[in-house]
Amino acid sequence: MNVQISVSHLSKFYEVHQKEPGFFGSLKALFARKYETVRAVEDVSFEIREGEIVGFLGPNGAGKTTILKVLSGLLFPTGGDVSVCGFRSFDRKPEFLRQITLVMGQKNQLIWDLPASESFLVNRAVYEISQGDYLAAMKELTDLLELGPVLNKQVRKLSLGERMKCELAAALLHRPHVLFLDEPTIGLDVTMQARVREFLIEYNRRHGATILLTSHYMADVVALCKRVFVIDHGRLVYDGDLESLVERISPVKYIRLVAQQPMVAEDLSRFGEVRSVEAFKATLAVPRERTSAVAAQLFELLSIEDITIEDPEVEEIISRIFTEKLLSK
Amino acid sequence: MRRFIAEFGASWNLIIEYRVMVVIWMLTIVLPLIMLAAWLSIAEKGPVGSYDRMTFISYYLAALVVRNMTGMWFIWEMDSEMRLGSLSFRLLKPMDPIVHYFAYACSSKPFRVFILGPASVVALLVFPGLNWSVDPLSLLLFVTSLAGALLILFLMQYTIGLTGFWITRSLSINDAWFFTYSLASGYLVPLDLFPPVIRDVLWLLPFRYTMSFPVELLMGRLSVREIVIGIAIQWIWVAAMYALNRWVWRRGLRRYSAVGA
Repeated sequence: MNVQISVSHLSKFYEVHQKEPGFFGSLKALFARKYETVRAVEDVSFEIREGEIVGFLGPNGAGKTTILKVLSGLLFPTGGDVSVCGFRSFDRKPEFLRQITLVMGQKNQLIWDLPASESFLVNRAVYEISQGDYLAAMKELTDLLELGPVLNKQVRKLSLGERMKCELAAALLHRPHVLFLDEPTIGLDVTMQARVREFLIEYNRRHGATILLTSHYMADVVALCKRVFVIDHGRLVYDGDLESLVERISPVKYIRLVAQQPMVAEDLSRFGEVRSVEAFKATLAVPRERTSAVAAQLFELLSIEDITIEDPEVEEIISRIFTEKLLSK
Repeated sequence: MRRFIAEFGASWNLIIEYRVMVVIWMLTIVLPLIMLAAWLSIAEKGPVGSYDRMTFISYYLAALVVRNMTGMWFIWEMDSEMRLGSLSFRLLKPMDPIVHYFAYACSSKPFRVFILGPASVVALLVFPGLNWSVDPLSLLLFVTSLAGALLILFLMQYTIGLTGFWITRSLSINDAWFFTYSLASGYLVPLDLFPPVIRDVLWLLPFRYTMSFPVELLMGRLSVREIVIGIAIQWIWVAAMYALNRWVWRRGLRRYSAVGA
């Protein structure tokens, strides 16, 4: 497979002016502005092949969205080279724009007061999609995303999940080869998140599209991405397999218990590290490879009402990476 | 062109969705009527310059039509799109956003014609003395000058909207601009009533060609020579505004992609 996205030594710095809060702060800022350089992205290099799905992990403000914006051509880099589908993104050539799409879960491109189908018609004209291709794309997206019942409702009357499905459809009508997705499942309920993930997997399978996404939901990243990038303070600190990352960062899983009688920490500590106990509920951290054995033991020795085994939240893994500098080069 | 039609279609559907709102907007254009009432009471004692009472009525009713046909308010939409970041979506499409905003700005016009056409006929019946030249040639010239006026106003407002790339509140510039426009275009006071020196200067500025020029055409107050020169100046301003707009657009884009979308 060909390399479709190639980034070498990408940097993006911003000058922002600092303002002290309050009226006098504003007054002071009028006369003497203090500027500060924010290093949003610094010396990032990677290559992505056609058809790959790659997830970006990193806390808020790490530079994930900035990288997506540079790749899609909205921002031009302070330094380094970016090539997507053989184009320099920030030239924003029409032939380039036809091959990519950017979906931002927190923003919308649909016309708010009209049914989504109106926005689709506009996009059809803007991307100069032929009637045949348009009908085929519409049919495919309507089937995959179950759009039928929502197409003719005004966008402002749609639920968040319905709207997100329409946003995806509007962003994919022109069958882009490269998808940049910034938090595509934010705010959606679990079922809807799963629906969006299935859709993305199916779209990737059918059209061989390359997908680069950021998400705060571990489930998204686990379901979609074999490969992940971890970004910290604008630097790429990990590029590789998701599984090895999780094992490397978090050798434990959590067992959450609900018992029929109150529990105390001392009794539980022989099973694993006790993270919390409050009467009938407890959480244990147990080494990955021992989780099923420990769960079986717990069932045997305590009268268990409910038990769940979970990976740590991505936020927790991320915060461990960053507070404990686990991936520092 | 197909893109313009699609964008226009979508905006037109918005207008239909909110037709009552458009009618209310049309009714809020009352400034010419207020000015008319004031001048009528002044002109009671005799004509002001070359304007008697019927000339004032003709002038301000024509101004009402021109304002309805050329007024636009898309800068509010631009402002919110820039501040909330949805402009980014427009930049990621293989189409210059100017097409969208122009279609949006024009979309209420057919609706206004639909209401103003019959209303003008009624006006002509109610005021038989109305000095409007409604022969085909004058109407053709009037419509041509309306198109030029619409383009100048669109390009001015779009350029002001683009200053949003540098300052967060382009709307305040728009307010200052509207004040200048009201005075210098003949929207508030017929330019003929200004001192000759000022009037001559105003004839060279773009504002006259967004209001007073079409109004005077409709009233048949201009000589052939004045019409030819007027149309020439109007379209020179269209070209100049377009050039300025493209320059600001390119600079603004460069800034937008440097400091953050």
